[in-house]
Amino acid sequence: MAKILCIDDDRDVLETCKIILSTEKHNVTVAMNGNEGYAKAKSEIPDLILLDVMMDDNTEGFHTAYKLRKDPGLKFVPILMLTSVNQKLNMKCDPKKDGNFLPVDAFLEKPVEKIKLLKEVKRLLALKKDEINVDGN
Amino acid sequence: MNNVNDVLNILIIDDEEGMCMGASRALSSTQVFIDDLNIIVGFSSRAVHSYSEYKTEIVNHKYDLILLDYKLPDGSGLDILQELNEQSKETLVIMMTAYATFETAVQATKLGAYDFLAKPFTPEELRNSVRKAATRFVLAKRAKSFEEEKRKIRFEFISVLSHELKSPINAIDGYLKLLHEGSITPDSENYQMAIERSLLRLEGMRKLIFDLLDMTRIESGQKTRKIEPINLIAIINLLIEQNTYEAKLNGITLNLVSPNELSMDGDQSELEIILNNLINNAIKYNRTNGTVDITVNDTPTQVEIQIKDSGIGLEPYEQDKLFKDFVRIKNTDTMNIQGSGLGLSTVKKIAALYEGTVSVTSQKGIGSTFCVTLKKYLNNTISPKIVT
Repeated sequence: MAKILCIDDDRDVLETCKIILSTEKHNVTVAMNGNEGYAKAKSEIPDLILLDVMMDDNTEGFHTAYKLRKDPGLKFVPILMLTSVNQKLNMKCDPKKDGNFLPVDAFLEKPVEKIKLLKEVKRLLALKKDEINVDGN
Repeated sequence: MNNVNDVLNILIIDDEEGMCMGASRALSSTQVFIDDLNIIVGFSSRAVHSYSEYKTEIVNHKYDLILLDYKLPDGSGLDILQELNEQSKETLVIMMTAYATFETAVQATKLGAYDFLAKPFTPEELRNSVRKAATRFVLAKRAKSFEEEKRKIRFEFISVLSHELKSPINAIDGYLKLLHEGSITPDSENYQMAIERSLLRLEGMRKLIFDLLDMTRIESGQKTRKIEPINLIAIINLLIEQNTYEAKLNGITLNLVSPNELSMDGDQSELEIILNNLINNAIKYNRTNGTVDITVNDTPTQVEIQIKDSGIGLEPYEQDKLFKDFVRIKNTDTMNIQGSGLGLSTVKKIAALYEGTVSVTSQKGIGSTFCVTLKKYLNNTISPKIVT
């Protein structure tokens, strides 16, 4: 059981994640934009953050990721980036294949699928401090 | 000499030094006023004296216009013309030659030369030719960048639109999969929510498509506008009636302060789109037991409609972007409210058709007031009387 913060501007993505994560008894809090998400991360210090890319603007998720990594209290919290744009933008989303360029630990393509999400969540929660992609390089 | 808005680079290719110097001098004091764009263009020129010098020169420099001699010591001007033609460069070439025969002129034109100057020519003849070429060059360049800009805007619009259409599909997909694999069972509290949310997202998608059609029709000018004398107050009363059910669900009161009737020229459906968007927003973004105050001020030339709600209000940075396409303010206050993000941008576009404006003043947590002004009579039409 872990504390997980989901940041996405789509209420139904949040609901879906909540339902999926509650099957593993995780404790889920939600936020609907980057600022709200950052504030909640500061006050709750989650064990994992799920982060959407396109919110108020196309890159809000990226900016939020950088902001979280700059915060000493939050920089080692693993980030799972949810995206529905990686194919369109031809994003490099596989850290193993493409190398890191964003300070996040994994990408997951929307629509969120239960098995994939739970597998990634389990893997990320087990990461040690020195395995967190703090710098994105 | 006036300040120039743009400088065109000219390359003079001629083996006669005197020719190069004369042309440079004539051009250094030349300016062209481009009427259509209201800009002044000046020139900066350089000279080379042979084909090989030309080849070295163009490696690192880009030229807009070329004054090209027909006969060069190590080649022909036509070779250069041919090369430029093959590279389909935007550069315009003015051929200069002392051996002006009809055949060379035809040949040069075929290879894409823009103009032809027979040596010897006066500085004025040179300037005239360069003026013509410069105007043509600048206009072509502007047209091209305008096209590119249009393409870019279109691409951005479509990519945001595809995101907006994909989001509800993903949402419904997510719920259906959870229902399908039994993660949400009929006896769980999420069952009803998943179905209701799916239906709501479908409705949102349908609304988006309708709003999109409204907007496209207005933007393309294909919607046939039927401008006729209209009683604006009758429209407002009708819309209040249509929105009363939704308002009552949340205990919201709708008030109208206006003259009994107000005549203006307008298209019924356009005015309905404007007012319905604003009234409906004032209800959607209100608080329980809130109020919506609609005030209509009539002046001889324009009408001002204020729609004030007691709702969640907006932060200053949110107000700035509110009237753009697909902008929705998303936070926990608005998470349960459906919208396409096209309503207010459409309101703004329609208001512009009435030489009007739409603006907002707002305070977070207190409420927002939207204000639309519309010209009552366009094209100096005479005030008509309403027949009731």
